[in-house]
Amino acid sequence: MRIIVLRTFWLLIALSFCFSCVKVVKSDSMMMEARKMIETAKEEKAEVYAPDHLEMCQKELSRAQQALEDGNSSRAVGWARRAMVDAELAALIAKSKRLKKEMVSMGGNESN
Amino acid sequence: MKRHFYILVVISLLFACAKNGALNDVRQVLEKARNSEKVKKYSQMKLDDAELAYSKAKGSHHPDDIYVAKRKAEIALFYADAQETQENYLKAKNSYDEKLASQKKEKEEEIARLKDELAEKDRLLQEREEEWAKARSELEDAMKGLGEVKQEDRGLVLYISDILFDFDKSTLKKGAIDGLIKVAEKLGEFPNYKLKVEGHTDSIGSEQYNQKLSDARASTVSEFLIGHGVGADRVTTYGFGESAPRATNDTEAGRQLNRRVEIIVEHNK
Repeated sequence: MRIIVLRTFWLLIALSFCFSCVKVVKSDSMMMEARKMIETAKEEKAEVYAPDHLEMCQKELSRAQQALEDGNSSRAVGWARRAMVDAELAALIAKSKRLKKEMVSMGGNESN
Repeated sequence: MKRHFYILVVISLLFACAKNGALNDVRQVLEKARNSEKVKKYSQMKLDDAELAYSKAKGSHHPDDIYVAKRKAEIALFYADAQETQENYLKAKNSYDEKLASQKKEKEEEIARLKDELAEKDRLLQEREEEWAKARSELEDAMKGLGEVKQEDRGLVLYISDILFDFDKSTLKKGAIDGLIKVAEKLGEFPNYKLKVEGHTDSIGSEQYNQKLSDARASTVSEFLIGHGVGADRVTTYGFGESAPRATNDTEAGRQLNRRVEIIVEHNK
């Protein structure tokens, strides 16, 4: 009986360790995705056309990083997810505005 | 104890309302995306993604899920806008490139036309220069025995000395006629040049008299030229009297030079 209790105890310890590892890996991977998306937004000139959105997603990414350093993996995942969607939005807004401006400079129609 | 229980219930209710409010915002944005024709055309996949995120948010009520669901619904809207803009941009760019190509072609054609025009002008100029050189050479030959030929700013000047007229007369000497015929014939061969016939005298006699004499002599030469094949519309006649001497009137040699008729062949530049 005692052996069973001991085994169960170590099994639970191992499982919780694995679970925490998975959380850290997940947050790392999400932060990487968020960084990529921020780069994409910058390529679309979000610094010029969607500066507020870009700043927001950069702050969210910093918070994710901070949460990870504090050992709060689930919070890190949360901030990284927010950073990802905000960066995607910044990229789309910037792309749309940039193309519209280029159309105006070509003498085209800005409105859609 | 009871009071704490009620406070907890109220806080829970407020919290639940706040979450429902946030979910309601998501629902509104999602509804907008669902009803958008642009989204149907360009970003159905993004809309499906937003629907999934909304379902997850409804189930979990987690603030991150709600936030992400709202953003995904917005992404569906902005993705459609960006796609449509890109489509319009490509159309505009094609049209702009075509316009530029057409303008470039027009400019190249214009340059080619101008080059042709320039080449033609150069050719005509060359022809004219050759003709002018020929006229000069042939007139120099024809003028032998009558006087000299000089290239001046006003044109090619044929200085015909006083051998044309007897003293105080304005009728041509018989001996000078043959030479003047040669000159007239040569001038007739080059019809592109305007001619000025100028009469000049020395200072012997009154100014008025000399003026009349120079007018008469210039007219005689003009009429002679016209009578021998030179177009009347090419010829203008002037009498200068004694006002434009070539040399001093104090010596016989100088006076001889001053008694003259000048035919100026004007170079059309």
